[in-house]
Amino acid sequence: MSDSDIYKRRYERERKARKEAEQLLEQKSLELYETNLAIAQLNEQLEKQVVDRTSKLKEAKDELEMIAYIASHDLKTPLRSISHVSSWLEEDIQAGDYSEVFNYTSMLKRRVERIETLLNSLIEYTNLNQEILDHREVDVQELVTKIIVHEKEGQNLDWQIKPKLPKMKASKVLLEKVFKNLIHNAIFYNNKEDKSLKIGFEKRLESYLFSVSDNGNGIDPRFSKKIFELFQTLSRKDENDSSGIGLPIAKKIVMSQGGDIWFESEPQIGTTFYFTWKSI
Amino acid sequence: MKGIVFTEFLDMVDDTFGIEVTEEIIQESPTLSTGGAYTAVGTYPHEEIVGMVVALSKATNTPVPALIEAFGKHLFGALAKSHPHFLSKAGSLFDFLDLIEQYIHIEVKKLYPDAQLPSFETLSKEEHKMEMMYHSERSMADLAVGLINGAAERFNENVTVTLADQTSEHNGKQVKITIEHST
Repeated sequence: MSDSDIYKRRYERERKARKEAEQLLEQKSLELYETNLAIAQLNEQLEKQVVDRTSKLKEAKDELEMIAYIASHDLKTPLRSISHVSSWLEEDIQAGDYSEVFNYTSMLKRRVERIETLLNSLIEYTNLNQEILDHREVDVQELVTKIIVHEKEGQNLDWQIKPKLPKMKASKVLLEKVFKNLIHNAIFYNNKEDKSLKIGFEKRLESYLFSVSDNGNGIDPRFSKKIFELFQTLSRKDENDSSGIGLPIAKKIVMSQGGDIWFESEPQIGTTFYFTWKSI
Repeated sequence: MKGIVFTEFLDMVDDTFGIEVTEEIIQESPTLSTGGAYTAVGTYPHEEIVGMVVALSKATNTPVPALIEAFGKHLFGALAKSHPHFLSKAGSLFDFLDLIEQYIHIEVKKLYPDAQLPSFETLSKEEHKMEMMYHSERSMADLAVGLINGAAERFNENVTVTLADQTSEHNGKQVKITIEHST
């Protein structure tokens, strides 16, 4: 074989190898580009997760601070009252006057029960985050009927559910809590002789809209935000057993399920609470 | 097998025996998938390099194991040039040999996931003697000897490398390699 033949063949092989190397380079560049893109997307997702988790952490921290403040603030009133009543009791016993003893011990007992109610409510509120969310099909008609029958016991109540409530996939525990709180309030805070209760429902594109209406005294719109805050009741706390936790719990649950809660009210005519629940 | 093995082999043949011999072995080798055109960044059938080594052995009247060992030493030089960071992690030959399985092959697999590498298990390591077990389906322990000799030269250490086939069939797939410092 002549030298020129050898160099000719070598040249051809080098050219072929060069082209193959260029192809591989092109391929690797594309792979690198796609990997970089995937990394950038992953980074963006991670950033979003960080923002989301930071926001949730902040919410949890704010909630904790609020609970700590409320616990100390709201518990002070009954504790102060216990202290005062105890002093009066002491003074009367020292003076040999037993006429008010029974009255004072009843007052003490009610204040202690009030503290217990507040503490139990706080525990219930904080434990909401740990509820086991078992999403199964719930017969809402059956669920609500049971709640009404239980809550109205011994009371004269004209009630209806219209239209028929659906069967839907949801956490039964959470849905029950919301309905129970709203129905309890609708009956408990209605001072009228002929109480009435209406449960309504509307299927929307991506959610269910429920309503709980009563013919009670209505709620002043000035309190539209306040009633969803912890331990806020619109009547004196020693006039009722309410802890002021029902609506904040309902709101927390509804919002955790991607919904919203609000009310419409007319004084002396009645109130309707609405809440939405995301379809699964 | 990675293309760098092929390109370095042909470069070694060029430098040691001349371009005519290179041309001859390419023509004499059983069918080469690319007609002898290799790029260092490609991947080619392992059988082709075996074919070219056998052709070289015939063309130069040199035994195959000796050719493979010589190539191993040459290949080490090329690899050390392209991947100096692997060497900088070790202070001696024995430390470097330990790194092959613990670090080097792991990093190579990250860059080239389809690379089929032999495994080197350290059996014992003393001040002047080290024993390793070589495992590979390709039975290229002689190449490993050449690479070790190349590494020894790099670390300025004089060593003797011996092989002992551990398989009953003497197929070279599991070989004990003993490296001893020469007195």
